[in-house]
Amino acid sequence: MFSDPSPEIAATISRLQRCYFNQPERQLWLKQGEVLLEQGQVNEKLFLLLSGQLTAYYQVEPNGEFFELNHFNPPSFTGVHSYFSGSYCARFRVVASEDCVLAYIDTQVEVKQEAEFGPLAQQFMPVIVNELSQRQILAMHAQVEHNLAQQRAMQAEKMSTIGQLASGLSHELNNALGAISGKSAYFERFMDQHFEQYFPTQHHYFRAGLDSKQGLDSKLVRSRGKIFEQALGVERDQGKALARIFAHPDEVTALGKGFLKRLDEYADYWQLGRDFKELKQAVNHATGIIKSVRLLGADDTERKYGVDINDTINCALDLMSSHCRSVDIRIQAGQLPLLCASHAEWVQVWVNLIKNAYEALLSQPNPAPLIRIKTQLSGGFVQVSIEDNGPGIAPNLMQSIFQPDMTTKKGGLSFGLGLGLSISQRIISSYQGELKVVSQPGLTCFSVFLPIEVNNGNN
Amino acid sequence: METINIICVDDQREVLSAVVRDLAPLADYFNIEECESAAECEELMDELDADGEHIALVISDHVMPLKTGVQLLTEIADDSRFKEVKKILLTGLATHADTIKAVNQAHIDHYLEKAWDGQELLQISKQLLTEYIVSQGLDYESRLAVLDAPTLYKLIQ
Repeated sequence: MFSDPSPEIAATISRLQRCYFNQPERQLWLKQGEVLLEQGQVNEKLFLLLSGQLTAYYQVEPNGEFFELNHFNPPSFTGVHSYFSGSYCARFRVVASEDCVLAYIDTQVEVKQEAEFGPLAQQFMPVIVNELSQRQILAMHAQVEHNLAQQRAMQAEKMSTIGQLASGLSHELNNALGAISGKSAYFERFMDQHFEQYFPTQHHYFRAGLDSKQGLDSKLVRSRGKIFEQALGVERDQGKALARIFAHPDEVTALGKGFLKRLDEYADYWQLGRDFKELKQAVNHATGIIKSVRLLGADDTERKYGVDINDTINCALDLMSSHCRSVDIRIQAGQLPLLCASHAEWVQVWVNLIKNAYEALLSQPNPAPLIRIKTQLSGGFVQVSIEDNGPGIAPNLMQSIFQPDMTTKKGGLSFGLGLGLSISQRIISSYQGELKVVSQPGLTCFSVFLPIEVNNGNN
Repeated sequence: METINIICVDDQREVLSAVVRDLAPLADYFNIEECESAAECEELMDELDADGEHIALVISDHVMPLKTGVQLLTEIADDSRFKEVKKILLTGLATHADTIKAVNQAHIDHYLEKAWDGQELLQISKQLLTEYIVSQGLDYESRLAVLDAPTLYKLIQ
């Protein structure tokens, strides 16, 4: 739509209106839907719209579809080009989109106030120039809109390719993982029973390895191993093996001298049990990653009533749990109303935001990495905030973090491909929600505001 | 017999223990150390070096938080104390550029992709350990059982 004319143009139009468009015999009434001009047909008139609204259409090919160009509101001229270019041929179809009152001049019009304002064309010059510049602005907007649409289409295409790839890949990988986990579980049961029956002492250590907790990290094993090494007078690798199995050298002493003699053998059984445990962990890790990759290309965007945003956050945390070992994640969940939403889409939003927070925390040494998630109902909005105490987002990057392909992760394994935040934002805005971010070193907070009224399923 | 160390670096514990398991046949002749980060590896190397122990081989993953395997191995290559240390990059994901850096800057001796073959890893480690022992003039006779015979033969001919 044309913007309102400037005061100078408005003054010119109103003078022209008084001079040329006040004759009742040169007025025209159109009902809504009536055609004023037909594209390509003769038009020797210049119209001024006094009330109502006109819409211009353009037909690219004969008998083809008409594309809507723009609306005209009073006071605006129609037929400027055909009248002043001398072509006297309408370039567009112009239809009354509301009941209209128009006034017009034709080629026979008598020029008024010529001494003061010059010939007709000169009197209309500001109007003609204004018309030209307005059209240029429209064309520019159309071009920008076109480019944005093209970008969105490319993005969607990219996502759908990733999605198809992801679902094909995950199917194959899950099959392979199913075989690995199924067979290793069988193998584990078989050995468990076999050892229990024939090697009861070794079985004890096999089970201890199998049931062992997360365990010590390599550095602790080394330092604790030295304690065992010195206290018991064993080799370095034996000290480390003992540190993995026992908490204190006294426990080993209590088992008697015979135990140390057969330590290497027992340690092997313990490690074997531990291997089975780690095999299961590795399979879980892989299935977790496959799930999140699938979500990236999720086409499960159907929106159903009954989604609790807290559930989607918990689901995202389940997915991320194998990733986020080293970070303390705290949730403070408020009571939320059920919404009409796609569960998968929201899981994806949270996975992206949590993953970002997690990766930001990893990017610099941090003695107590923390992610704090809070949900609440406030002022007609579901509000979710995800805070991390990482290094913060550099001010010069703030503008671009929502752009696709923007990533601060270098060399690292990045499933988001730099699309994470832009996908999240797209999903959030499709629910007419908003994603806001504030960041300073030590505190970055992404907040999602989701209006309940438009998402409660009553619309 | 002087202590010769092999250091394995991977931020995923189950992967780390799998690498160590593959190297188990070497355990009677070499000390095998595990590290879960590049920083831990550097600290350990300083310590072992200060104790006058040998470091023959570092096997590192590439994709790790804070410092990548290529960065770690480059720093080892640039450290005059560790010029002779053999280096294997064991990775599931390295870009083309990373790989070029690994060769040109970290001067790695071998590149292995995950999932790796345990026998292959062991065989390559044996070859590199043999080269290290000969180049350092260390006693190879007591370790013949785990050294690579063709490599040894070629080097002492």
